[in-house]
Amino acid sequence: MALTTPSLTTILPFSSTQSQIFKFLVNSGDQVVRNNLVIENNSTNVEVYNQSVESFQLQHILPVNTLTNGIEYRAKIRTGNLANEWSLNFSEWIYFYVLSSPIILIPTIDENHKVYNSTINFTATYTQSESELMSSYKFLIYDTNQNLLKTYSEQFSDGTTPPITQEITGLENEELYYLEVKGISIHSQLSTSGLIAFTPFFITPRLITTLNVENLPSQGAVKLSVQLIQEIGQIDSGTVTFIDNNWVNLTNGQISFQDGFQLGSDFILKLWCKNIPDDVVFLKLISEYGRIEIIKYEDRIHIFKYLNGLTAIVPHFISNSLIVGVDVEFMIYLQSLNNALEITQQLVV
Amino acid sequence: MLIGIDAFDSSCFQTIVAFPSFYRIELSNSVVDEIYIDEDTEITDSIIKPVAWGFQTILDAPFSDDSLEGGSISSGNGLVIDHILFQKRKADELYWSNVSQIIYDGTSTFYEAIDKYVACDFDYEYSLLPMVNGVQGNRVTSPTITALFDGVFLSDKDNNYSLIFDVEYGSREHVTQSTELMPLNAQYPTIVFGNSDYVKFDIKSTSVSDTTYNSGGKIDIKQEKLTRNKLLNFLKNKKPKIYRDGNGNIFLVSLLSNPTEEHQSGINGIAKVSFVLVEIGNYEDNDTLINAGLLEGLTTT
Repeated sequence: MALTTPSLTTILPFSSTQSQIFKFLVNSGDQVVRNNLVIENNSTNVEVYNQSVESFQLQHILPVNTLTNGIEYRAKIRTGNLANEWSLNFSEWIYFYVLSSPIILIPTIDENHKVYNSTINFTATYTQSESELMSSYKFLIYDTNQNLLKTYSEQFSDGTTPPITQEITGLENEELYYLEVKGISIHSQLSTSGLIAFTPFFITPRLITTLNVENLPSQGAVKLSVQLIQEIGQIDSGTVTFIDNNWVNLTNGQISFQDGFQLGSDFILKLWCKNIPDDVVFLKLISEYGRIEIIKYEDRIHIFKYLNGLTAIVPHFISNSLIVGVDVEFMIYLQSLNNALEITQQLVV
Repeated sequence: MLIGIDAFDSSCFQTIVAFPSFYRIELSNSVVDEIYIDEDTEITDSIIKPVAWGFQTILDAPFSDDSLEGGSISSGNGLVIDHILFQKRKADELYWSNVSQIIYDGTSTFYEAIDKYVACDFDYEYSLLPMVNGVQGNRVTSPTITALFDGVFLSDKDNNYSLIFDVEYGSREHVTQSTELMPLNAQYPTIVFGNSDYVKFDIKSTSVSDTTYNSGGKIDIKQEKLTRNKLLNFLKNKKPKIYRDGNGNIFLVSLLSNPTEEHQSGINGIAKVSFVLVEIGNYEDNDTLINAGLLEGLTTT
């Protein structure tokens, strides 16, 4: 038996600041106990590395800072046996690049690791000291536990123009995500941004409504229906202030709801309130045909219905008696049913 | 006090002044915590504040967050909702899928969506999300509902056809691939499986028009023909469809072979229609449904 000619496996570009394992294969022959790796500069043909190592393993570890970034090299290897014999031939040359590690940054994610929308067009930058161009890239997004949520499709780019971008939609507000950009250079150098944490923060609209569902057996379907009304109170006059983020002070002002407000003849109205002075209108419902005015007088609430153009008849409804002190909250309940009005008041305890 | 009438402790006079509607409400001379108006007159005088917007609620202004908003939409910092998105999930599942997306322009008060892609006797939960420039707001969820119906339905985004008379369900073939390899040096074969896994089945049913159905049995031959033609044209339109039946089956399907009409001897105008369907995708996959053009208001991004 004798030693057979080994073959080196392909080496992807690597940085000189990292050690690199050169693996090789042998097919039958003597037990390999040492190997001799030779590396030359592919442009100048100058030998830059020629070392032997004693090892049963079919690999040769190149120490850090042996080569120089930005240069293409070629390598060959031969093997040795226990009898101090070398294989008759070196392996075929393999060619590889030594390149600085690229840097991929995602400036869309700010220094606070936040983005400010649900749909974000993420942009990344790619820099490589020896101007090794990017060939393709892809974005990967991970959840809070760094489980992969989605790998976006691979896109091709030279890393500069067009910029490295990916639109990501459907981000949940205030959820923690991780984003990674992986790139491959024109000489197959792999690069990654690493997992960059970010959290979307954005103002969201809110619905305060009920979603109704019902079966439609004749259609083999389910019907969904919802009532959506946008009503924003307007300040009509005076000064309107808020108290404790929960009360509106209308002592010296008036507000109204009109846009989006459409009320039929039968309804209930509840008003949680306090500090209503005597004998002044504090609530008014206005119809095309007239108005309803509500006042407080001593211990009772009074309702008057005015029909436009008719002043002689003013129906009058009176609540139960309730003594209410200053700054004591009470609730007025008004029910309009079949044109009759019922009004009550009670303390809120 | 007159019998049943107390002029001071309750309101008792039937008004002769009737207002059919009100378009404005004004508040003043008070300090107000909340105002709530609802057209459901059975709501009692409980002092407990409402927790949700009802289907007949007209106004609910809690005056919190220094806001004068009283509707069912809280726009928040001037955001204007542009779409509303309906989603659903089976009651025992976690992830929501889209049902439809509707443009919200504020001119309408009531919004509806019909979910035709439901399996009979399965429990569903629906939800609604407001959207501003693609940003989704809070989720409003519905009570759980069990989809219930009889017969066979075939639908796409714009059409919905039912077959409920004399439905004959053919056997459903579950198509998979496998090959038996017999190595020369082995006693037993090796079985290699493919990835195919779909169903193929045939349906036969008597087509009956609404006119005939509603006439108590009097056959309107012209309407029968028109109804069958519409169904057959729908079947032959080469587009993906959703099949569902009262047995709880639901599939994304396509027509496989030639549909047939078979007239009933002795009953002029009535015919049976039969056809073969083949499953072509996952009906629960949002992207598949969007690509097949089966979801209202949603397109591929």
